[in-house]
Amino acid sequence: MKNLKFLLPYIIIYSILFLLPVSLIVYYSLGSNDVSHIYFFDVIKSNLIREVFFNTLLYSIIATFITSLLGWILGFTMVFGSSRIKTFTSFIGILPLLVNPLVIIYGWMLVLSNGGWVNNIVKAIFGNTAGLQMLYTPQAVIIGMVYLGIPYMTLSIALSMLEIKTTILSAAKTMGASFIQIITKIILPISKEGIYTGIFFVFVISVGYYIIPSLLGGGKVDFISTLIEQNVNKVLNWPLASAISIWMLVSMILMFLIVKNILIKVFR
Amino acid sequence: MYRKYFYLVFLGFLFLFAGCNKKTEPELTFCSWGGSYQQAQSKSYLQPFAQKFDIKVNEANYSGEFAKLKGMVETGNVTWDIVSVTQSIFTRGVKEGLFEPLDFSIIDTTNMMPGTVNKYGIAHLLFSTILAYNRDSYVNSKVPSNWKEFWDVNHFKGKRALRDTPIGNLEFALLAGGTPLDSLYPINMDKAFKKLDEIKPFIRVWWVQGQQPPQLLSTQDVDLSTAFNGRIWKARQDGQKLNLIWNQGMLEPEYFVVLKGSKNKINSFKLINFALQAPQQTEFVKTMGYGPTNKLVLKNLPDSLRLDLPSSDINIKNQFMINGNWWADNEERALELWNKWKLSK
Amino acid sequence: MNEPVIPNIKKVISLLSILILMIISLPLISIVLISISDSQYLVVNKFTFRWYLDVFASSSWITAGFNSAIVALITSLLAVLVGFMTADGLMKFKLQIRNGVLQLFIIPLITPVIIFAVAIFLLFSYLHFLDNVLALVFSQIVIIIPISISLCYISLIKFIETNPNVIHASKTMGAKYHEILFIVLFPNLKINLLLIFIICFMFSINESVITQFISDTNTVTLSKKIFEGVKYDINPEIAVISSLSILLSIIVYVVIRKISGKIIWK
Repeated sequence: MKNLKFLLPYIIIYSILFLLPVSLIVYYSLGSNDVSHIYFFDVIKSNLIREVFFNTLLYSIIATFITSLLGWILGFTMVFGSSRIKTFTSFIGILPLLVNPLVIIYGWMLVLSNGGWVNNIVKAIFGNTAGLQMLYTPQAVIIGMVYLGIPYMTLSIALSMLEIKTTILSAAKTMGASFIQIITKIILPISKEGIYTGIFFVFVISVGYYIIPSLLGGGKVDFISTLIEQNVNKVLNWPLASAISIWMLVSMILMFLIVKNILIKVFR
Repeated sequence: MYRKYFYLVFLGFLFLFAGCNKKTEPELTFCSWGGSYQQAQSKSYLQPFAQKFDIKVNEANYSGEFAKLKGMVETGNVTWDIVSVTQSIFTRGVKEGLFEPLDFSIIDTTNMMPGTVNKYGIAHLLFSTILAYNRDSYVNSKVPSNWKEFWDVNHFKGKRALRDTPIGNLEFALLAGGTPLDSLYPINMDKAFKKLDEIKPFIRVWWVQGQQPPQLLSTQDVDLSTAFNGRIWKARQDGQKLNLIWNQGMLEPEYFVVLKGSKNKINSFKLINFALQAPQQTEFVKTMGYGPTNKLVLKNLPDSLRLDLPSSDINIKNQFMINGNWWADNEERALELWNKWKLSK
Repeated sequence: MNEPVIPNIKKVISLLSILILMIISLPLISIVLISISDSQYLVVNKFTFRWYLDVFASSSWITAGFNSAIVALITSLLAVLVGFMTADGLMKFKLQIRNGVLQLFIIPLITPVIIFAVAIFLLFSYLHFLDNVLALVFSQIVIIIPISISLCYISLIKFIETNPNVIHASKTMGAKYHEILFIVLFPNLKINLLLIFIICFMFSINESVITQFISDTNTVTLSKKIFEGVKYDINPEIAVISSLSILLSIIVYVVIRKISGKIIWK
């Protein structure tokens, strides 16, 4: 039991700096007067909040899925690639982390906007067309979310692949394993943990975005955090904001529990 | 091994001390929106005030975090003295009791325009939400000159953008439907949303931040958009080919308030008084293109600038002033309906 | 039979990677272009270095950079340390309980940031403990430590899975628990910890929501200035800062590789 002392620092931080303030605000919002806990049940009844939440989940699932594919490819290259590619990948793959997300969004706007690069090329090739509408669309939001998630996914996967010794791979090759077999039977299982963590992390941050969807989606894509932020900062309806957050938290935890159990059974 | 911990804690305390403010001279904190707006405020009145009265003015900035204002006042830790706030924060803040009543023996309001002075705050500028367009998009076609024409997508072509908020859009929808300028309030929300239904499929972008419209218009991602007049004015100064239409625009004030519990009330009132004087307002107006609230300012401006200001006589008569009180009572409900409306097919 | 199987796999995947990396570079190149463009309107016609001069002449950016760096440094050091300890402490539990506890520990990450930001702001405001480096550190670590815990946890699991003998051997030789942690595990996982440190560091530097609430005039950080710059104007100075950080990381990366090239990469 003395090993538990290593858990102590975080438990202290968690209790004092997280549980305490958040429970206080939730209590103050929901418990302090009689009207407030109406909001709690309003949230489930509200079509708006349900729809926005499902919308958010949908976008996040799609973005996370694409990110995991791309992140896996990059992570693989970061660990197993030839020396030059390794350098290249590990540098550029991580670069988006170093630049503030808001600035990256503006970088994307320069690329995708009507007067931006892609459209300039399109107009040069196809003459005087209206150009492609890539910005202010749902696709742009997905692109933004994937872009911001790739570094985390890549690093997470690379971390778990670092331990795989190439000797194991050579041994498998010598024993006649094919391309697919090596990947599915050796690399994928070992990098499993990294993939799960990466997926979890990217999904969570995707669900939490509120500025990015409104900038890239042209205000047509509303995420749940946008609603929460409106209630916290614009209309000061903290009870509603707390209620939405609690339901969101509970739903996400339930979702993860269910998905994790399914994944464990599938990959047994 | 434990030495590491001691170093960390020690380092921490060092910073704790470094973070404590040592106030030895009179000073106050002015909080505004940052960017070039606050730079203009600083140059026009904050720095001159500091020099003239030998009072240090700290500058803070925020992005409309109402929660922070409320939190400060309620926990008794008021670190901002004067804040520059929008109409919605103002009326809501007054309701929540977040501001100090102003001392009019220190603040001289004799030259202020009617409607700009309130017990808890004074409007220091007027800005308009108007329709703007890119001249290049309309070389051969007609530009809408009012909201009815904006709604008429068949006769007036162009990709459109509106602000992502019910504020202003409800009024514009009513105007498009024929409601006269002086009968907008109280707003019939059902009617407004029905009218908005007509234009919804044609809105390319719902903009959120003030600097989006000039961007959208200059790259022609959009041909017509509502915008804040000052932004379009600045874009034109920067050489962008944008025009704006004053007709049926919405005027909105921006207020100076003093947070309740501020420890520098007297100096804050002095600063507000100074900032509202004609020379200071003139300086600000010249840099940002927003409308002054001091009557004397308009007289001394060159004609070219006067034409560009929301509160000049020519431009003001075709606009309407936002009704802050109505919005204070109805913003929450309107926002909820707005969100639902945006999601609906 | 399939002689060059491994090289083939590598070739295909490497090719895909290059494609992906080219796309990743697109917005980054745009940002560099914006930083040398003479216009503030996302149109790149004329070029100038004036924004760079503005930034270097401005003491506020330098102070902000300094503040950001200090906060990020302390935060990430704490995060890696506590994360590593906690991940290790978790290993003592059975697998089922472990996952449950891990879920619990990660809740701060799933909570909407704005709610947490307001909550911690109210707490600190009540204590008059705002606008200093420690306040920023204490508020950010609540979000960053869970990241560190999960990443350290994977690293530990991987290490123990692939080197079960090491732990066993050290126990046989009578190593105490904290000795195992710091003498055996820590050095072997140096690269992992470095990567985790970098992730936490970058997360702290780019963190805007909590910073908006906790920091004020004395602790203006880069993210706060960028947030302000992006929300109000699109000031090319923002692009300059980002381009500079890209440049800085190129330099740092080259330096790290030169120093420890042989040790880190096989």
